[in-house]
Amino acid sequence: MKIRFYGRLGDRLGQEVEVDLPPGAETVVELRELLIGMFPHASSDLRQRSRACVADAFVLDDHSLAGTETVEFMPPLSGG
Amino acid sequence: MRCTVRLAAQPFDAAAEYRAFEARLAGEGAIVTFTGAARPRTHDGEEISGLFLDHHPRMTEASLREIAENAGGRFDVSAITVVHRCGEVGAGDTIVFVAAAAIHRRAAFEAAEYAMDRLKTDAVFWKREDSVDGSRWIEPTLADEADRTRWSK
Repeated sequence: MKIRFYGRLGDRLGQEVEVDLPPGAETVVELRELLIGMFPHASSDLRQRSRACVADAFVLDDHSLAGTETVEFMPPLSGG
Repeated sequence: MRCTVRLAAQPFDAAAEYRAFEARLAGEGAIVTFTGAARPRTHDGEEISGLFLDHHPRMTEASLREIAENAGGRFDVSAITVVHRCGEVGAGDTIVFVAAAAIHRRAAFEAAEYAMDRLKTDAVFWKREDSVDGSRWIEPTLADEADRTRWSK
């Protein structure tokens, strides 16, 4: 599964990583825990301060990632 | 309602955007524009060498369109345009240009203000200030959130 990061997360973790969810894990919150294990220095950003996005739509933490190829994580937005 | 949006990867000229917007109008009596430029200093007075506006390959432009269409639909305007930079932005360069045209001024003012308030919090961008001492990612301030929230009423 491809994971893309934007903004501060992209700077800290790289713009894209490839991960495999462990057997039995399939939700966004389980993906967050996997990523926190890989990137403990970004745990607060990964746990609370970023929204997950699948197929260009924001998804909640209980969203199932079965069959999902790409998940994107977005820190708070700042335009204008 | 004519709505145009553009995500600009290169510097753009707000005056030229205004002329292009005006050329498409049909006798509206009121045109309001807003131009936002990259400030040369942080809130703490530190000099900024430039900004970086990270963006999403699809969601960013879609968010600009959604905001512009909402601004146009919510107020009685006949045309609205939003141009927003992405990528590396030099200090002093224009980041955003909004124009709204209406028969009367109130709708044009409100549509432009609504669009700007929402662009600050809802447009899909991530803004980083770069200075000689390092870089800092910017998040919406409480004032930005309050500006956004007042349109929910």
